[in-house]
Amino acid sequence: VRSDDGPPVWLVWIAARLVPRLADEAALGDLDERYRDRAGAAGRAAATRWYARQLLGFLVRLPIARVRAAAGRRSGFDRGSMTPAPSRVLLLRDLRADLRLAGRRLIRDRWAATATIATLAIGIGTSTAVYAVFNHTLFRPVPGIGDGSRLVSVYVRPDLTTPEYTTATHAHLAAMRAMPAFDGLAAYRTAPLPVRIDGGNPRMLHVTSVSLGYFDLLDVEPVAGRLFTADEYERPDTPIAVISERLWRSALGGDVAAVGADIQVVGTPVTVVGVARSFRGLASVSDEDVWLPVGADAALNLYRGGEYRWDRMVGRLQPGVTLSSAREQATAAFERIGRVGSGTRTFTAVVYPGLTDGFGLAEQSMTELFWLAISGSGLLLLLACANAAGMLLARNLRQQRDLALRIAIGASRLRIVRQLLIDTSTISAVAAIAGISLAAFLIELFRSDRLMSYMPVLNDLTFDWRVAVFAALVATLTVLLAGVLPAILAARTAIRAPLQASMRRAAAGRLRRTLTAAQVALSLALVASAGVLAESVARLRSVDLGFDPERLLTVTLQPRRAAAANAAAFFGELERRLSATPGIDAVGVAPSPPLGSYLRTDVMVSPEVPAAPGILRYVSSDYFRAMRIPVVAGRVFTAAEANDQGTGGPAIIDELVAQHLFGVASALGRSIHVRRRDVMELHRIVGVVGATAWSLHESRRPTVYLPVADLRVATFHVRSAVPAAEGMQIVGRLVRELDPLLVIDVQTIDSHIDRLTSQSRVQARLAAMLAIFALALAVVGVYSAASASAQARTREFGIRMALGASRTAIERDVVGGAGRTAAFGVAGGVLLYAWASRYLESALHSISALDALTIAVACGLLFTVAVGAAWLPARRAARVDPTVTLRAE
Amino acid sequence: MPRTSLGELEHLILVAILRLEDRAYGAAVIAEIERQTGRDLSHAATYLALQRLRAKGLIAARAGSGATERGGRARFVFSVTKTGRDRLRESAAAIFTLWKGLDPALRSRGKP
Repeated sequence: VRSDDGPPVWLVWIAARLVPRLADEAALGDLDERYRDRAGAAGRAAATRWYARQLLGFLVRLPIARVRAAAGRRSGFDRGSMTPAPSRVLLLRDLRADLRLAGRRLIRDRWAATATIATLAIGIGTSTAVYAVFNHTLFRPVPGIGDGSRLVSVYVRPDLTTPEYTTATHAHLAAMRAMPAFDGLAAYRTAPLPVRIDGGNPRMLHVTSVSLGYFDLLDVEPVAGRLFTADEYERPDTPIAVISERLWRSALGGDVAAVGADIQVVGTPVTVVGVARSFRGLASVSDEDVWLPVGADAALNLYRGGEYRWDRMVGRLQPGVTLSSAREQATAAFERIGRVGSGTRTFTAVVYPGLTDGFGLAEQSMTELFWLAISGSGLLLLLACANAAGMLLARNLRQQRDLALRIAIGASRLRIVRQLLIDTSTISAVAAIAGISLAAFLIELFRSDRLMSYMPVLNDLTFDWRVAVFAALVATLTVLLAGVLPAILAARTAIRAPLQASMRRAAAGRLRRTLTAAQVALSLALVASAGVLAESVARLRSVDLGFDPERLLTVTLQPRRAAAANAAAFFGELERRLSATPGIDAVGVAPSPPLGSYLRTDVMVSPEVPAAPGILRYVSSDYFRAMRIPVVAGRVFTAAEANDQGTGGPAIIDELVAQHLFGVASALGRSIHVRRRDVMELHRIVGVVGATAWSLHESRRPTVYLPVADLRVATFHVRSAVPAAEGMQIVGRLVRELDPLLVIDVQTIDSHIDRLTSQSRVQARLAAMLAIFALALAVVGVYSAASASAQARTREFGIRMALGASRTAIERDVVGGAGRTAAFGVAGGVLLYAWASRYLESALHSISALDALTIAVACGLLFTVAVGAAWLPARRAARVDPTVTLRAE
Repeated sequence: MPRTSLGELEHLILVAILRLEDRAYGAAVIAEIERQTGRDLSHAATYLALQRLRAKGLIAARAGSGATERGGRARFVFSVTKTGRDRLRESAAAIFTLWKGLDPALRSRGKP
């Protein structure tokens, strides 16, 4: 029976499970009784705190009681028998003592221990998390594939020396199919296409056309309906599709009736014959949702003109066939194609094991990002190990006298080493656990989209066995580096005669200073990298575009194939309606959005003068008003001039062309030659406008504008008078009124720039995260080095102060020592960064990796932080009372 | 007979059990020590010491009655064995011997 004034139920629950392990039932009763006494005297809150403290006491003593019970049972040693216990028992007893000693030191030195543990945990945690991302992209088992064994990816390369990949043609596929090395082979091609389901708004989904045997090769199973039969794959005009389970569940509610129903792909109805169980395609970056037999391409009118090109081929090797023999066979087969087909061209097959090629070769940029992350976190791990090793070494040296005493009274060398090992590995083990927890947290952070929103593949990032093995390896390595080495060093020092100890200590101090300098150097490299990456992003964002991005919206429209013939009418009507809508200031039409693709051209005054390379852009007359590009001289196109692209027609040039061709003279009314579709045409200049940026990364290029005509795809540049969000709604509504089936993607220029810079931003953020961790490690490193050295010199400081040295002099001494170490570190860091920066260069825009200002700021930051970290131990050293110091010795 | 010396906590426990006579169960022993010494004892440490004393044969325990104020749980009432009394006496004698003649020194130094 428990009356109401007993301890809280949850504490009693814990007590009932904990206390009897150490004592007995009666002990529970004792606790209960004394709780009531205390509750009566000091109140329930105080009594509850007391009760919890008691339970903690039980928890802490539990292992001691266990070991004691075990040892007592085995030897009877504790009962006072004088017969020597067997050596195994002695070993156990020693081990027990060592463990207890380690535990005590951990509690006594808890702040230093916490710093060491945090340092190691940061190293293990970040490198494991980064590896998890790497692992996920590299080794992620492709979901939905039944049998992944002997699968290979096949790419085609123009020749052996070119690093680029070309895409496979039907001829390549046919040649590979005839090869005996393969058990099966299929090809596919993926594109984002508008898909409309159940009468809703169409949206962009990744649609993949697949060749014969695709699903059979990958051993994909249907969750509803069926997959393609052999005769359906390449039969022309077969508008059928298999959809992903994800799409089926999210858009169709997982309804079996959806099988047999139609969805619209690019406006053409396609019958869904089945749903693929958990399959999401083979692309490593984006998930696929719809698969069409390649024969349907014709029915959908998807790819017209030119040679059909596959993205990639996948195959299953015959058992016993090696990658290199498959490669040789394929290359031999391709050579025959080269001779038959385009004459001189030869092709090389590149065969990768597995279904992912690492980062997806299409995603060259990803590779860069991953290398940055991997090398950054590797540096950080190294830094953490160096830091922790230094701290543990200092920690071991602190108990030098204790060790010397123990050796003097007969402790064996082995015993000393073992005790130190147990001591350092206890810390490392705790750090490993903390580090793995940190990794799990970081992985969760990556997955939650906050850091890497543009990488959808990270959504199912997990802590799988490979990551666990990696973490264990890293942790073990860390323990070896940071734990065992200092233990052996310290033991060696202790074992030598005490006279040598001070010499050794000096050597250890040098080692310590070198380690600290190395930390500062590595941190500087990371901080400088983060600095230039951040500065690069900032510069990208602040590029002077030459037009006004404020409240500028773009919407790119491609009329459905059925309506393609009337595209011009459609665009004209939309332009009229948009211009007439309140809330919209101006509407300009061009074939593509700004900062995107552009047409190259050459411009010259007469055929004799060397041509200036430039850009050709077709625009409507209101384009300049919509973009707010200033008209410097002359006028823009008139309504009558619309569609007038012919020779002798009007042209507008920007200031760069004007300056280049005519210098200070007026360009108005002059004629220029413009290369268009490989023909030089003569145009009459009617206006000069301001220069604009065509890419965030490049300097401006001379631009010639001609009137827009016969567009099949158009981008509307809309200058909104109302806030962008409202403007986007207005534009969306108007387009839908005209054609409810169009995929509409209204963007602000800002979001467009965001998208263009997203990779740089992720790189910068990742580098910043690593740099912050590295900086934290450097602070901890300098701090603990300074306090260790200050502690070791306590006696010296005491004597000096007794002889009249001022506190400031002592402080200056400690801070100065740390400052010298930091200065060496900073200098080394600059060299390290100068060497490593070449790998950074490709990720940077409009800033050099060796940007003097950024490096100077990083140096200043590191130096200031290092000196600041040494200041606290310096003050502590100077505060010590000289008499106390001297007596302590 | 070789013996390990009595620890301070063990010493205190033995004295407390003797003072409490037949009321010497766990909670009472701890409360008594806390009252007399003014310090907070850890229950866990005390139980470990009690177990040690039992293993050395210095105390004995018998089951007592439960009580509602302790959640109806059983009590173990401890008593000091003959060996225990002997050892306590030796230990105390050793301490008293050491203390002899120290009183003036302690008084003259004030607070230690």
